[in-house]
Amino acid sequence: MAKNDLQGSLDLLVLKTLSQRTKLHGYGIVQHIQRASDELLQVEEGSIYPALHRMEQSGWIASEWGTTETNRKAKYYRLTRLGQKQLQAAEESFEQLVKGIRSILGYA
Amino acid sequence: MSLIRRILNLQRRTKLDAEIQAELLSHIEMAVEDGIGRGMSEQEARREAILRFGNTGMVHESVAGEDMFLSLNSICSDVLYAFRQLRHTPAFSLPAVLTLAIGIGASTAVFSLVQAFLLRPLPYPDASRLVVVWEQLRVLGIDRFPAPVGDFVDYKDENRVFDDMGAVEDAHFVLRAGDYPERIFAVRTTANIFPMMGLRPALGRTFSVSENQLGHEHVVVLSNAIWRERFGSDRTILGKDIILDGKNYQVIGVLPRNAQFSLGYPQTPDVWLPLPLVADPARNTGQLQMVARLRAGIPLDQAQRQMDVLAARLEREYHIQMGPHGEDPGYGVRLVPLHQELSGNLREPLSLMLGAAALIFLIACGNIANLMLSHGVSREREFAIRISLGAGRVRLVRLVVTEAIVIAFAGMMLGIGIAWAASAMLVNLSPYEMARFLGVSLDSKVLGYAVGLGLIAMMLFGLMPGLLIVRRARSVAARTGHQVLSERRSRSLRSILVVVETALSVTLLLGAGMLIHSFLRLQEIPLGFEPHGNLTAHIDLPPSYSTGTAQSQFYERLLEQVRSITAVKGVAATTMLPASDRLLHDPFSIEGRPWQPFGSARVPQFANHQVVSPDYFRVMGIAVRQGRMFSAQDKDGSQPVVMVNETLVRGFWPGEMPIGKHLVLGAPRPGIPWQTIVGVVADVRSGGATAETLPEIYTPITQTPSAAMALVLDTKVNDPARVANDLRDAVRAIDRGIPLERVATYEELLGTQLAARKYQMFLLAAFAGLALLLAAVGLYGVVSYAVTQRKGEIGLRMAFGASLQDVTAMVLRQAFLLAGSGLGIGMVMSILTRQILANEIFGVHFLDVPVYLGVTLLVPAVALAAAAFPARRAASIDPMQTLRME
Repeated sequence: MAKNDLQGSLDLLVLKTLSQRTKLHGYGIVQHIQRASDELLQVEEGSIYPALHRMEQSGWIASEWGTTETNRKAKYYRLTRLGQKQLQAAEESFEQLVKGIRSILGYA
Repeated sequence: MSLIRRILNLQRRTKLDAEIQAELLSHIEMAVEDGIGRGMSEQEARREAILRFGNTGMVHESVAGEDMFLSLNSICSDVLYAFRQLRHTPAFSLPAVLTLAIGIGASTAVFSLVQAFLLRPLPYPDASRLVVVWEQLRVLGIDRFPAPVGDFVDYKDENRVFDDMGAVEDAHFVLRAGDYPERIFAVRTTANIFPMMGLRPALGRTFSVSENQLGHEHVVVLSNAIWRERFGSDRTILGKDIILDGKNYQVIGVLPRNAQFSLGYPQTPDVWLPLPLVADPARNTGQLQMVARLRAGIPLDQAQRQMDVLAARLEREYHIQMGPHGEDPGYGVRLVPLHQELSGNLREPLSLMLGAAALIFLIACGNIANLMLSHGVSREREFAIRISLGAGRVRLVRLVVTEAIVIAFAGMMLGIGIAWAASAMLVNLSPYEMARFLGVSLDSKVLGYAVGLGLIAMMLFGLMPGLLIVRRARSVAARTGHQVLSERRSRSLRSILVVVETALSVTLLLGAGMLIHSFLRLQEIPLGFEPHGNLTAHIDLPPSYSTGTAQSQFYERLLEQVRSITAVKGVAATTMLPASDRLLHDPFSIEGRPWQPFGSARVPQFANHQVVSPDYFRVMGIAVRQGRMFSAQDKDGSQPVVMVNETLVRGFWPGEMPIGKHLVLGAPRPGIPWQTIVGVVADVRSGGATAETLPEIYTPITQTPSAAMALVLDTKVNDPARVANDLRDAVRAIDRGIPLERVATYEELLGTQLAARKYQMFLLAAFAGLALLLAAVGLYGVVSYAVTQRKGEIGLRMAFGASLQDVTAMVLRQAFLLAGSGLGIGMVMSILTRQILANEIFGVHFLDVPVYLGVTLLVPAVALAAAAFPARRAASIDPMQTLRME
């Protein structure tokens, strides 16, 4: 199945989320995606972490340890310059995808 | 971003694991907090958080996988991880690394010799175009004959294939400098030899062309060694005279320390003198070695054809009289590339060694494949668990590949170390002087060879089993993830590997056994004389002893002097020490028969000629069969006499009484009286144990004096070398200016003759031993592994009443079956490839019974030793425990 598409959209969501905040931990990212999508996107929360680490390896995001409001240690992620470019590209290609699907479905 | 911290973290997998763990936990804890905040109990909140998070183990594994994805720091961490992994399984990694190191080390060491002696160009400019030009007398089977000066001049002037052509003659001189005389090795050369060999003087100059003319040749160029040792590195020596053989030579130059020159001499020249180019009109005797540089673009065979044309002309003009009845004496010239000339006798032993080393390498590869298979099978479960936890296939393959690379690298480095030590040792032990002249170094090509071997070993025999395991582990994971499958196939593959290893080592063992047996045979062959207890030395009288009378008088006095040494039973002089010195083939003529040394007669009219003192036969223990020995009555001026051996009598007077017959050395010619045969002695193997006995002619020292003689002393002491100093004193008492050379016991001399065979034997035996050791390790691995795998089965058998003997026998049966198959196959292989050793084996049949019997006993004994420990382990399995476990 189109695993890459799913992965690609998860990346897009994460990058978009981080672009709206200075920094956020994994739990926060998951919460934000779920709230913002009105609980439409239900992913297994754990599956965000391989994606985060992969993006970090690609240099799109960076991480550092910090403390939460409740004084808990957590790993915070933020968008890098490279990540911003990637977000732009990902948004554009997503638009293309949506346009393509719309035209096939006859909404355009 | 803190890249450094990340690298540091990645370098420590445990720390990385901890970090991932902490991140995932913090996520769950935050979710729990939120749940409590929404009014759940902590228990409910935790359950929901975990449910929503998914499988933590799986997430952990794939996060780790992402973090390790192909980036520099992750490779580094993989390597470190593999290192630790290997350190934790020394039973696998240690034999793997050692085996590979031995395989690579042995092969690389041999290759470093091949590279140095056969592949690397000689240290001369345009070395590939240098050739040695030999004359040949094909009918006599002589293909390396030194040329007379006249021939050299004609070839040099008339050829159109060489850029330049030079000639060298080797000679010995007595150098007087300081207190003691020393015999030194000299080369007389044409002036152009220096530029041809790229030799530039460190001081002064080399010869000019005019110095190659008679009367202008009293100049000398010193080697750096003799300049340092004998003249104290005196920089003002140029223009001074040194004394060689009582004549003055002016020093005109000194060569640099690194000057290298050899045309196959046993030593490097001490001094260089100009060769006076004076042609002997008859061109009967030659002493020159001719060296030439081919013109660029002219191939060797073309040059050979053009030189053949020239040689045919010289044959008609000068060398036709060598066949007096119009027969073809087979005169010609032969061009041999200098490199081939120098390394010719190394080619065969080196190919043999390279082949043996290749077998070692193959056996080592078999062992590693074996280890990898058993290691892999034992990790099948680990891999299956990793896969069910979500580790990707790429990840596992990388794990296995990294391990293989780490082993290859460690084995390679260790192997290069072994090669470095071994190649130096091989050169030092080598009986070939050329090996030391050419020198060995681990250059880039040799290192490349080692790296190549390492890569091949890992690709073929490391990775493939590893990948097989991964594939299999996946299919295992798809099923129960518990039962280990496909055991049977891996086991039969391993058995085949061990059988092949054993077979290869058996062929090596048989080969080594043959060489050893052949060597022992050689030493048993009676030489026809008694070398034990004899001391030998050589003397070459300087030109001040110019007349025959002076020479024979000197030796007469010396023999008398030596006889008075208390430890000496007898002493004799001879021009040639049998089985050690070079044979002297001389033509001879028989009274009343046609003189045809080059004809197609049944036996060539050639004999080995030896000048001896009367006591020679008694001292050497050579029996007189007919007639008498030489005596004091055979003086200069009395009737010329000779003694001959039985082979000569059989060849020329079969069934006749030879005493009283007449012959003469050389052609019958006016003014030279016939020599009368007065005695016949038993045959001696003058050319050594492997050579045919030859017709021999002995003449007495009084009638045919010679300046150069060898002394043989029959001593009363166990160690004849102890008489050496007394012998030196005896020489000094007569003439202080005469050096005594090459003092050695006769047994040492014979040992030198056998040195090349001994070397080959030693090497092949060492390789065979290594091979057997590796095969034994392989066998141990297979049997031991089988015991581990069949633990349950063995326990059950014992529970059902199998005795300890039954179990032990079961294990040993497997070992013997494998070793026996290898033995059989190895013997067949060795019979099929018997041609390889045919030239090295002497006096031993290719199906030599003692050797085959020995190997047939040795291999099962080694198999027994290899299987003994696993068998004991099998016997100590507790059936009750097994039953409880099942």
